[in-house]
Amino acid sequence: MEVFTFEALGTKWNITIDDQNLDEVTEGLIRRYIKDFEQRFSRFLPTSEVNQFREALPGKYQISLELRTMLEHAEKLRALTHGGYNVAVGKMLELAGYDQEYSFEAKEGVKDIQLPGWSIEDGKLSIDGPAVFDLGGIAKGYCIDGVAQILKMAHYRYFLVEAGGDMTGTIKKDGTGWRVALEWPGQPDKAFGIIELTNQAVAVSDGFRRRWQNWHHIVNPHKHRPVEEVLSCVAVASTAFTADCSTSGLFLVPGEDTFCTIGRAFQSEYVVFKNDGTLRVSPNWSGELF
Amino acid sequence: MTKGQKIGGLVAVLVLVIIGVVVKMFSGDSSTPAAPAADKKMPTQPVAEKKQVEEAVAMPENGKKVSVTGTYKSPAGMEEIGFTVMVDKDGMVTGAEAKPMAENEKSVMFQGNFAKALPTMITGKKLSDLEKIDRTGGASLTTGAFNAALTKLKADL
Repeated sequence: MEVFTFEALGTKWNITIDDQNLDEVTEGLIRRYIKDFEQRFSRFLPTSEVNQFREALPGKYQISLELRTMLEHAEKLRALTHGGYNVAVGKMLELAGYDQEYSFEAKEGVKDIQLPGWSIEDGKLSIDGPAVFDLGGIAKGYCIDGVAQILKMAHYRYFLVEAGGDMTGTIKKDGTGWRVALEWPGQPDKAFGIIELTNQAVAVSDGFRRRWQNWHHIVNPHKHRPVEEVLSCVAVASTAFTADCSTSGLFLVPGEDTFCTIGRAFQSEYVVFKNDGTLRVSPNWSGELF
Repeated sequence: MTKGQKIGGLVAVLVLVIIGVVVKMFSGDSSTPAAPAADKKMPTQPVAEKKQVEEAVAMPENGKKVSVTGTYKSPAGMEEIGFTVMVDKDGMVTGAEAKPMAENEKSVMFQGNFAKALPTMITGKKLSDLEKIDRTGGASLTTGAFNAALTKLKADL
């Protein structure tokens, strides 16, 4: 089994096809798809679609179908987390120092910034003022599913697509699932469990990497501070996109009882590591824990 | 999967959880369930230390074992380092262990929705001890671009 590895979207990709190698044409399509995806949806590229509303006047704007799909899910997450997960957090992240120049220097204004109002109405983006969208927490999952779709269209049936620790897999040629070890938060040489993916995906988020000063990249806009209550979470769902949506929601739950609301909303199984040394595991968790 | 199979599966899981808890209760490794993984807390300061005093095990008479977890920031994020020192009854340090943190200090308490009254611990396993793994899922692999930027920034300073 050969693994096809490359760097894209700021992370490392591994595509494994059971008993077969990836052909050059499909490889080219995948590379082009991811490059195009990054150019359209990265907050770090000034010409991307998510950066077109920085100076925008209030109003309704036509957007691409992909952005619309992602924003619709983001809207659902915003409601489930009582505004905790809000993709319009881009400007706040920039003021906190996670900006296009990677200044990693928190500015005074971060304490006062109010997020713009936005919604999807009749398929269009409605905003009440300038907005900077950060699709971190949902876009990578969407992109992984896109790559899986390309493989399916090229008639590959037995594959696993991984990008930076998140992945989606069909099955192996012998009919079994892909066995994935789950990394213990903060200890890359240790696993806390194993999940077997059969036409499923897994996503992982944590808040103890990507740190600078006293910030990290998952921010609670109500508090104008990064989230510290949750250390790390893992979700398994039918697509990488919904698994990714789940981990974003789990990170920003408004209360203890909301973990299962997130699980139900995206039909996911999950494990949440809290900062008090306890763990929350969904009742439907099918993997091993040890 | 039929509904019957699903319910059967749930019952099986529940039974396994209960067995797991009972095994843990009698296996003797649940000596510190009241204070699991104090060291997993995320410090709010870049550098933080926590001390945990334990009963003496193989120690000087009336001595104590003190585990210290220091946390520091590296380009890769927050890193933890732990060590244990032996302290005798007069408070003198009599020894130190390099790889000291007991497995249960590195564990977290697991409270599934139907195991609320019966918390159990997970302690993890070494990746190298696992068999037939196709891939590892985890967040340490996500941060290539970020870390490159942070490392570059540090080099520029």
